[in-house]
Amino acid sequence: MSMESHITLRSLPRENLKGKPLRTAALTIVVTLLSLALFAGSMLSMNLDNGMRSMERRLGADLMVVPQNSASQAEALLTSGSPGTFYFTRDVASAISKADGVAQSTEQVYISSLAASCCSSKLQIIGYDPATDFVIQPWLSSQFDGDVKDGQIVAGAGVNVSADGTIELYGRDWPVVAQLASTGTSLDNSVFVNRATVPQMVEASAQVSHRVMPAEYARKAVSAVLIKVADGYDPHMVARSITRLDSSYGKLGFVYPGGITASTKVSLGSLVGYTAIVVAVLWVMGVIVLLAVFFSSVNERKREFASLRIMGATRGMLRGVIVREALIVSLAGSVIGVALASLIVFPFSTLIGRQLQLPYLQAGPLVVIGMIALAVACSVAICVAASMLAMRRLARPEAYMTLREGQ
Amino acid sequence: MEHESDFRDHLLVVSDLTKRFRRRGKEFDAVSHVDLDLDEGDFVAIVGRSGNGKSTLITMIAGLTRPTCGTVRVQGRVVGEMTDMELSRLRNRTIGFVMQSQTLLSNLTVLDNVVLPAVLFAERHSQRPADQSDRIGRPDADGIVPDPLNEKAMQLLERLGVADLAGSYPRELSGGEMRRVSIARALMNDPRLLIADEPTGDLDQESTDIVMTLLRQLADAGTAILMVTHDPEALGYADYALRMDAGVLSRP
Repeated sequence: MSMESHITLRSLPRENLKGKPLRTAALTIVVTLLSLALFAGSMLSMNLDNGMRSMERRLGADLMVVPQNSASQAEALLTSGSPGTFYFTRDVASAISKADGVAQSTEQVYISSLAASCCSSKLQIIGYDPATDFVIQPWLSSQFDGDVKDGQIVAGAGVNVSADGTIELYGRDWPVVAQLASTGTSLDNSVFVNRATVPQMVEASAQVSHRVMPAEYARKAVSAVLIKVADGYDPHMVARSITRLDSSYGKLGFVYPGGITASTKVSLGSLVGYTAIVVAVLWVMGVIVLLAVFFSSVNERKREFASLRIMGATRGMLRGVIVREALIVSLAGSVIGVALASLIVFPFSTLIGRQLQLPYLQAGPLVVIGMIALAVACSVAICVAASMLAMRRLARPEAYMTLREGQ
Repeated sequence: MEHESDFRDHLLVVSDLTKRFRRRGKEFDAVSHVDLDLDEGDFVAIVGRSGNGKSTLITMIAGLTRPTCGTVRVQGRVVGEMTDMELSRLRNRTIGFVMQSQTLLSNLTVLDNVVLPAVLFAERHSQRPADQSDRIGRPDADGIVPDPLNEKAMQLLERLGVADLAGSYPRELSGGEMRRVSIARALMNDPRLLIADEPTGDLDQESTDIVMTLLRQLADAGTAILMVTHDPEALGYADYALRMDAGVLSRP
């Protein structure tokens, strides 16, 4: 047994929206676009900013010395480029570490893997020296409490580790002891091994395909010397002192991570700026369209509201009807907008980062929830405000005069 | 002091009511110093040529237009001194108003249009007419308990001969049908004073008879009715007629 229902003041806005499907659809679409632009634009800017800050934290060295013609590859490795293999010999590295102004130095070896079963693209293998390292270990220690032993791997966030906790590389399963948090840089697609594991990998590569580097270099190859400069020294000054060590060192590549950060910041700043301008323009246009739709319906609705006044509706009731209509439309529109933006922003975050060639790090769930709430709140507020502006013209006291207009 | 007691005794007291407009720089009185008393059960018609202030007078009585001077008292209270809430309650509960023009809400069905005045003030939801109390809660053949407001609206539509249009939208109705639905809506809250502006304007002979018979029955049951009309047929149902000429109300 159920009770037959009747119209109520609360259900009137819903009936009004149903009765004018075109107007309702137009308003919903505009609010959808507003919230989509705001949410997607904010997430994009925020994720780029996160990536930037993460990159700054990861680049713990003041200067990187790399082999001749390898500087751009090394820069790409730090931002969002593709993996590479380049090296010089350990004796060069030892000489560099003794240069004037070097406070601390450590060696790293970079090997670009073949396409591995774990990953959609090639992996960057980074061998580091635990004894001297000051870049990787502080980062590792936040995720992994212990030493990375020979043959063990620490995987970046973007690397798929199989269920048994291994990664297959060069036909061999390597145990993974920890997986790092996402950085938004190409380091996410890297694996980290200690320096002693590098020759094992070189040997493994020779078993399955071409050898990644000659056997005699496996133990003495160094791809980069990372340097922390002493107090009072400038990285450029230290680079000059290195070139003076030997006449052949003039051709070495020097990468200044601080410089990379600065240039990336400039690109990121302009991208965030453009995004903000596009979102602002869209919002201005959206608000104009919203106002136009509300004001164009004012004339049509004058009679409707005059009728309601005549049958006893207070101005507050009329306001309530208008606000509830705007709330229903704007809530629906903003939720659709956020959902559509989420379909683009979240599943394709890796692709977005790669296309932008900038570090791109997805914000955490709490921040995302906050942004969703903000996008919905802003869209609802602007829609309700536009409707209230139009309402001022509808709630004139002399309602009967409206009904007599045109008679 | 005699006047004070008059105000309290009559349902409607109009005193020295004037509405002044300006047309092409010249002021004129659309309604000029009108006095009128109405008691429960009175059925008064106002006749006169178009543009002589009849509609302006009744809209001032309903508080829809502010007078230039003079007062309107309904149940002893001055309409012009009421707050928006008080005036809205008065229009909703005490006064029923049938407009000359089409005022049905286009997004609502005929039934919802008629029910709407009964749901504007929340406390009215719980009020059910005494004569309906025995029917409430009794399910129909499908097990659905009829809603008392819908039932009351259907009764009114039936009395006005438009019950079969309950599920229709205003755009599907003729002018005469809309007029009858508007009358049903004005009667939904059992008003003590019904103000009707040309209630038979779009109606044929048969419908005019239905509407005027209903209004007469309402007056006989105690509702005060103030009707503006040009229809000689409708005049016959009123107790007496007043003439409005150049804003001045007089007994012919």
